[in-house]
Amino acid sequence: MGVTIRLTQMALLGAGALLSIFMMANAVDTPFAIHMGIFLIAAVLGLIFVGRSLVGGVQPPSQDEYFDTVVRAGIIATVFWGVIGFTMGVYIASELAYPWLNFDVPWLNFGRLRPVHTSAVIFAFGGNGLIATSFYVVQRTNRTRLAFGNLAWFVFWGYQLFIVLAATGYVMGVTQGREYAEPEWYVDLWLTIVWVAYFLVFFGTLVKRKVSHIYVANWFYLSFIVTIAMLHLGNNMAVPVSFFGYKSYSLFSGAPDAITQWWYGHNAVGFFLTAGFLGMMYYFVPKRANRPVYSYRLSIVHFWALIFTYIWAGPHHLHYTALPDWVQTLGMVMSIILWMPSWGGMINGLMTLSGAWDKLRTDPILRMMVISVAFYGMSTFEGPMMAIKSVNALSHYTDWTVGHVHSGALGWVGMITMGSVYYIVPKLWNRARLYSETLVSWHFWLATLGIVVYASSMWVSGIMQGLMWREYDAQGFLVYSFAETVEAMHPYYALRALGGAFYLVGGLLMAFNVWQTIKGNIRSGEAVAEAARA
Amino acid sequence: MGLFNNHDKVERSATLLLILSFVVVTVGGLVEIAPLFWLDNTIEKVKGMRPYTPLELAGRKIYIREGCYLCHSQMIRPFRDEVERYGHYSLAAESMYDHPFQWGSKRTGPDLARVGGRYSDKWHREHMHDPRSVVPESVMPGYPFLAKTELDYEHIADDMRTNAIVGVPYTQDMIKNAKADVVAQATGEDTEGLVKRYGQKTFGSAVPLKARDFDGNPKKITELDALIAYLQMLGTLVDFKTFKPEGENLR
Amino acid sequence: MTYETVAHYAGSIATVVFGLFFIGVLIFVFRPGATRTYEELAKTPLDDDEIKD
Repeated sequence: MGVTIRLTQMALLGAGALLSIFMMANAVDTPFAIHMGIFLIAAVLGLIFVGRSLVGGVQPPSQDEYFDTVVRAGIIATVFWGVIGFTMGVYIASELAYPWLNFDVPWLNFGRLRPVHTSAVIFAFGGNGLIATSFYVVQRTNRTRLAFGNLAWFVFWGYQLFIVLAATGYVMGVTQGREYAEPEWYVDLWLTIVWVAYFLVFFGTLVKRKVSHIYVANWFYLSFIVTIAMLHLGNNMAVPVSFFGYKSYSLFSGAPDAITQWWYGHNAVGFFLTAGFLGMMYYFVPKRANRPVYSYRLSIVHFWALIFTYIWAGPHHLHYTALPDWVQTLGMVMSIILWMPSWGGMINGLMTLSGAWDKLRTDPILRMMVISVAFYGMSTFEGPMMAIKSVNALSHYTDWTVGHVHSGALGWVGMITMGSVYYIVPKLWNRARLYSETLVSWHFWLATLGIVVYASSMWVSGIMQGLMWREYDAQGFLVYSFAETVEAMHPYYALRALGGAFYLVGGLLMAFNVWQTIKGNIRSGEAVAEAARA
Repeated sequence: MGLFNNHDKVERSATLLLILSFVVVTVGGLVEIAPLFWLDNTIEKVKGMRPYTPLELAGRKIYIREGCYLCHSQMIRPFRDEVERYGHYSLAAESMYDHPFQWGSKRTGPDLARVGGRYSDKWHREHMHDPRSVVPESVMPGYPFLAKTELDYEHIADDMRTNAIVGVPYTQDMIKNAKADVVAQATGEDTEGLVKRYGQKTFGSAVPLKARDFDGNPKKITELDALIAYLQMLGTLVDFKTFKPEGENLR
Repeated sequence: MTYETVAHYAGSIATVVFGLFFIGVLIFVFRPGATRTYEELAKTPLDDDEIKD
C-alpha cells in the first residue's frame, strides 16, 4: 500500500512539474515566470525526495508514537522566520527614520519591504509556530498520532513554499494591494490547497482521538483553521487578467471591498493572532506551570464569546470613512464588548499559575509566557478603547495604531510563541534541559525592554501626530503643515527602530540557544546551578 | 434533567464543534457585509465619476505595485481639519471603480484622495526623483527608476476587460482603443477619440481630461507618465460646486 | 424588507442575538454534572508524554 501511495504522490508531483513548465513557457510577465520556476523547483525536489524513499523502502512508522519529526521542522522554521521577520522590521523601521536606507532601488523601498516584514512575522513566524504547536498539542491532548500519514509533511513544505512565493513576489512588486492579504491569485490558490490539507490533518486527528472529550486548546486551533479558510476565500475573490500573468482585480470595489478587506484584516488578528495563540496558551501555560487550567468553565465561555464577538468588530478600522454609519457603530459596540471575553481569557491564563507563583522567580520560560498573557490583556484593553469613535478620530492613520499592533504582536504573539518554543525544544529533541536558561532570561529582558521602547515611542508619536494634524491657531488656521508633523516624528522613529533592534537581539539569542540545545550542549555551570536550586 | 442527557455532545463530537463554530463566526460577517452589496446596486451614481483611462489605470497598477497605500490614505474623513487640509470629504461613490479600494490605514505621508491638480507635473517629477529635493522633511523613498522604465502597456486592454468583468463600465470602444488612448494621453497629441471616450462632456466631470507629456520626456512613454497621470486625476472628477450631500451617497 | 429597515434594526438584532447566545453558553457550562467533567478536562495537558489507550 505504501508503494501505491508513493506512486500517486509522484504522479501528482510530476503533473505539478509539467503544469509549472507549461505556465512558465506561456508567462506574460517576468515575475510570473519566476514564480512558476519556483513551483517547478519545489515539485522536482518533492519528486527526488519521494522517489528516494520509494527506492530505499522506508519502514512505515509505528502508530503508537507521536509524529514529531514534522513538529521539529516546524519549530526550526518558526525560529528561522522569526529572525528574518524581526530583521526586516528593524530595517524598514530604520528606513522611516533614515530614508537614505531605501537606496531608491525598487526592491529595497519601504513600500515593497513592508509586506515582506508583516507577512514574515505574521504568516511565516506566527503561522509556522501555530502549525507546529497545533500538531504537537492535538496529538498529546487526544493521545493519538497525526492523521493521514505524511500529509503533515505536505502541509509543512507547502506552507514554506507559500511563504517563499509571497516574499519573492513582494520584492518584485507582485501584490494585490490589500493589507495582510497581499499575495496574488495563484499564491492564494496554493495556500488554499495547503490549508485544506492542514485542516484534514488536524480534524482527522480530532476524529480518531482516544479520549472522550476534545480539550479546549483544540477548539481554539480548530476555529483558527476554519475561520482563516473562510476569511482567505472571502477576501481574495479576484479575477486574474490572464492565467499566465500575476495581475488580478478584486471582485468588489470601493466601500464593499473595504468592509470585506477589514472583515478579513481584523479577523486575521482575531483568529490568526488571537484564537490560534490562545490554543497555544491553553496548553503550554498549564503544562509549564504543571497546574490544571484555572477554570475550564471560563475557558468555554471565553471560546464561544470570543469567536462570536470578534467577527463583528472589523468596521472599527473604517470609522468616519465612507462606510455607512450603522456598520461603524455596530463595529464599535462589538469591539467594546470584545474586551470582556478577552480579559476572561487573560484571567484564566494568569490564574492557572495560582499555587505556582513562586515558579516565576526561578523559571524564565514561565515568566515569558506570563508576560505574554499580560501583554494580551493590555492590548485587548487598548484595542476596544481605540475602537471608540471619538478616540479613533484621533488615533486613526497615526503611529498609535502601529504601537498597538506591536504591543500585541511582539508582546502577546511573540512571547507566547517563544516561551512555547523554549518549552518544546528539549521535549522534541529528548534533551534534559535547554542549553541555557540564563540566555532565556536575557532574551526575556531584551524583548520586554524592546517592546516598552517600541510601544511608548509610538504612543507619543501617534498622539502627537494626531494632535498636530488638528491643531488650530487663534485666527482659525491650521498650525502645522504635513511636512512639519513628519519632521516631528523623527526621534520617535529612531527610538522605535532601537526598540525593534532589542527585540531582534533577543530573537538571535533564542536562535543560538535552540541550536545549541538541538546539538545536545549544555552551557557550563548552569546544570549545577539548577541542581542546587532544586 | 432530560434536557441535559446529551449535554456534552458538543465537547465530544468534532463535527458538531466544527459546524457550530463555523455558524457562529459567519453571523457577524453576514449581518454587516451582505447589506452593503445590496446597497451597491441602489447607490446613486454621483455625477462626474468615470472609469480610469488606460494610462491612469496603468498608473494605478504602479501605485499598487510600489505599495503607496501603506503610507498614503485615499479617504478624507469629515473633520474640519481634514477637509481644510485635503479638500471635501471622500464619498463612497468616488471609489466605486476602485478594484481594489485604496483607502489605506496609515498616513506616514499625507492623504492623496484629492491630490489631483494640487501640484504641477514638474513638482511630481522632482518629488518622485528625489522627494527631499522638494520636501526636505520627507521620509519617502525615491522612485528615480520610474522615469527610466518604459511603460509596458502591451496588455492594458486585458486589464480593462478584466475590470469590465468585475463591473467597471468600460465599453467595447474603450477597450478596442486602449493602446492608442495611452499614447494620446501621454503625449497630448491626437486626443480627439480619447476625449470623446473619457472626457468632461461625456461624464460631466468637474475638470477637463488631462492629456500631456506628464514626465517631461517626449521621447518615450514611461512608468512616471502613467503614475503622474493617475495622481493628477485623483479626486478631481466630482464637481462639489453642484454636489448635493442629501443624495444617497452612503453617508 | 428594505435596506433602511435592515440598517435601522441591525444594531438591536445583533445585541439581542449576542445576549441570547451568551446566556445560552452560560446555561450550558453551568449545566448539572459538568463540574466533574471540567475538573478532569482541566488536567488534560498534564499527563500526556506517551500515547496510551
